[in-house]
Formats: sequence, structure tokens, C-alpha cells
Amino acid sequence: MIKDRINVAELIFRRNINITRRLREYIFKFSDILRRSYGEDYLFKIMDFCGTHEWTIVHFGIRSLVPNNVELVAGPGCPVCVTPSYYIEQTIKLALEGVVVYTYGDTFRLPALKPVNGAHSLAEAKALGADVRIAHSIVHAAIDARKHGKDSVFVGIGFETVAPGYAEAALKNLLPSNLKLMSLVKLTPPAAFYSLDILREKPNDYPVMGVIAPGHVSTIIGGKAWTPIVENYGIPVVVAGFEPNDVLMAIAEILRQLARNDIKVVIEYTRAVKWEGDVKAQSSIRTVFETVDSAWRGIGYIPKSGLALRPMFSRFDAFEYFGIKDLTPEEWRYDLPPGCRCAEVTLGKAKPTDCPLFMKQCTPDHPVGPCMVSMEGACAVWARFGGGGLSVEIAKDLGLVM
Amino acid sequence: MCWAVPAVVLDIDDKNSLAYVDIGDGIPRPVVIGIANERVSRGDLVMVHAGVIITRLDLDAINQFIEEKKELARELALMAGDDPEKAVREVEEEFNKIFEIARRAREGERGVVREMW
Repeated sequence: MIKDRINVAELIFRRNINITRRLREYIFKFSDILRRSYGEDYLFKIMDFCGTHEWTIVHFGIRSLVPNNVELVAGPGCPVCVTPSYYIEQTIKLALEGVVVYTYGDTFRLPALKPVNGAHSLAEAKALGADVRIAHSIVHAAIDARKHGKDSVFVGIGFETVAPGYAEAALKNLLPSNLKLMSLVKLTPPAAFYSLDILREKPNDYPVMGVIAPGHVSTIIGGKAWTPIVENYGIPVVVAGFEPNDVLMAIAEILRQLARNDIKVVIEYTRAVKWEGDVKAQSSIRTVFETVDSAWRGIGYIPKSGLALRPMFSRFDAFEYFGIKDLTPEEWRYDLPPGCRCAEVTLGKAKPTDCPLFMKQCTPDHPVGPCMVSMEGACAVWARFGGGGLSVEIAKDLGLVM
Repeated sequence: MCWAVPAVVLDIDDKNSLAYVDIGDGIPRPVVIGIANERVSRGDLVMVHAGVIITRLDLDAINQFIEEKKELARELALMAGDDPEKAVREVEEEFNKIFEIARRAREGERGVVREMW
């Protein structure tokens, strides 16, 4: 029963091929109008700032449904990809010292740059006998840690979406005294602005002309968080959902805004996102965390792009409890393996296929760089579902493409 | 990191900001209510991300969504020189079909969702 209810909600936005066909026509119409005003060769780059959007785009072959003057570029949307190697090395060290480490499944396999006692990842530490446990949430970890009472740490990676969970856990004292939180939370808007700046600096290339903003991050921070993009860069922003029709609608809306010169932030994901976001979640995050400059793997420090526990909540802080020194801008070193272009992929400067390691040394089974690990990493998505070729064939079969 | 799964709220522990949800497999799982507690009540369809309820799916907003789709179809048809009313009707029919399936699913007809696949 419940499964059916959930499926219906998904179906409305997914298995609706007539709407898909309409949206595609609409996208082509507007791209023709734009072609006439910008010129035949002008490439309209639209950036998605969310690994899940990239997943939808590749999994459902959306790149085969857009005209050749529209390019979809993956942006910094995967927290696992941007967590500095230093923190992974520290958690491996803790694990090998006998601390129980709770982690999400994708971080479990995330390779660190330098091995710690022979272990490159938490998975390898577990193989060496360390107690590393996969948790799907902090509550799950809290329930488990309470049972055994041993010193434990929760590797708290994520974006704004996980932060209210950590904040509530701290505010409501849900964590047992033996479980500490290592806050590695990153904020998306600063990274989005940073990446747009970087891409603007790149000469002889087309700038990003539109942004598909992350839907679930926006449930917390609200559509309003993206207004600086409209104000500072003058390009459309659409907060979109994650079904293929949601993404197509976002592309159509971006092209419409460009064609009509009507630039603004639009929420397409109205069933989940409000303009103000969730005020209570924002306030609980502010109460528990402070905004700090934060290191992004392979990229460096981005100002005001991370969350650290406030001193008031230091009793939950893994850095303090285990005496781990936090990374500083002076100590941060480039932390990607040789040849890996994950940082450029993350910033939308390169495609996964531009990387010399992609599907050679670096595969989903044996990831070399962090972008090949998580389900949301652009390289992992491209490796699993392929590029345009196959999806064009399928789209032809369905009568979506001639 | 936007990966989230839809789930139905089974029970709420207001004091601890916890809820028990079913993601469709019948197993109640504890999750943190990350948003304002008054936005979540029993039976609601919510999005759960890494064990945190990040939003309630506002199914009333689906009507707004359909209106937007109809508007879009109208605009497209006008541009393409088609009959705009026909395009709007197409969208309506498409959604009516889904709502009919949704209604039958709500009434307990098993496997009806498969008709769409």
C-alpha cells in the first residue's frame, strides 16, 4: 500500500512520456530563437549544482534530448568528492586506533591520498581489523553506539540537507556521550559562486548561461538563497526536482528566460521547495554550527563554505575529544592523486571523459579519484550509465528523437 | 548531495524530534525531523535524506504544477501554430490518467501502479 503511494508520487513526474515529448519540443523551439539572436555557434552552457541532477541527466539520457547548442555541465554537487583527504586519513587513523567509525556507504570507499598504516580508505582499515560501520543516518549511529558504549565517531559529511539532522541530534541530546560528530559539512551556494567565477575566468569559452539549482538543498535554504546568482551573474536559476521531467522543465525554463530576457529565480520543484526554505531548520543549524572557511578537495579553501560546531556544543565535537588538529589554509596541500582531474570535473571545467584515468586505472570497482566513488560523483555516474550514444538510441526507440 | 527517498510517516516522537517512517518496505525506521515539527504529521509523504526529513511533499502543489504544465503547453502550441486548447487537454488527460491510478492504489488495489511502466 505504502509502496504504491510512493510510486504514484514518483510516476506523476517520471513516466509521463507525452509531457516529456512536449518539453523537448519546447526546448528546441527556444533554442532556435536563441540561435537566431546569439548566432549559430553559440553554446548555451547550463550547470547543474547537484550530483543527483547529474545522475538524473545521465541515467535518463537527458543530454540526448537537448539541441546541440545546449550543453549540460556538472558542477560541484557531491560532498564525498570534495571532502579533503586529510580528514579521511584522520578517520582511518582513529579506526586503526580502535575507535568505532560510523560512515555513510560512499565515504567508506573514499580513497585518501596517503595511506595510513597501509590503509587507503576506511574499507581497507576495516579489512585490517578496524571497527568501521556503515550508517545511513546519525540516529542509526546513535542507537548502535549506545549499545556498545565504546568511543565512536560519526563522519559527518554532507551539504545543507544533512546539517539539520546533526543540529537536531545535538539540540535534543540524541547522541550518547561516547559518540562524537566530526562535522565536515559544506555549503553549496559559496561553491556555486566560486565555480561560476572560475568558469568566467576561462578564456575562449562560453560562460555558464543558466543554473539548475539543487532541489533538496533548497528545501532547507530556500529558493531565495540563489538570488545572488541572478544579481551578480545575470543568469537564470531554476530550483528543480529530480525526475527527468523536472530537469527538462528546468532547461526549458532557463532557455525561455534567456529568449525572453526575463532573468529570475524560479522554483520548479514547488511540491517540496518554498521560497523561504525551512526557517526552523535554518535556525537550528545557526544555533549549533558556525560558518567557517573550508577546504575542498583538490580545490583549496573557499571562504565561508563549511560548518563547524560552535564552542557551546564542543561536547559533541570529535576534533576536540580525539585531539585532532583541524586543517588550516597554510597546511592544506593539493590532495588529488597524480593524473586525477576530479577538481576540474567538480568545478565544471572538464568532463569525466577528459580525464586520462577515466575508465582506465580509475573505475567504479577501483576508484582512484574521489569523483569515481559516490553515486553522485560525476565520474561514477558517467562510468555507470555512459554518455550520449546509448541514450540517443533509446530516445529514438521511444520516438522522442527522429 | 541531494539523494533523497520518499517515505510515509508512521509515527512521531515530538519530544526528541524523531519520526518513524516507511520507505515502502514495511520496516519502520527512525529519522530526525530536520524541519519544523508542525510541518510533519502522521500519514504525510516526506522526503528523507540520510536519515533526516528535509521536506514534506506538498501534494496540493501538484495542482499548481499541472497548471504550469498547461500554461507551458498552451504557449508551445501557440508558437508552433497548433491548437492551444488541444495541447492543454492533452496535459489534462495525461494527469487524469495518473490520478485515476493513484485513486485505485489508495483504495488498496495492488500492483496497479505497474500499469504505467
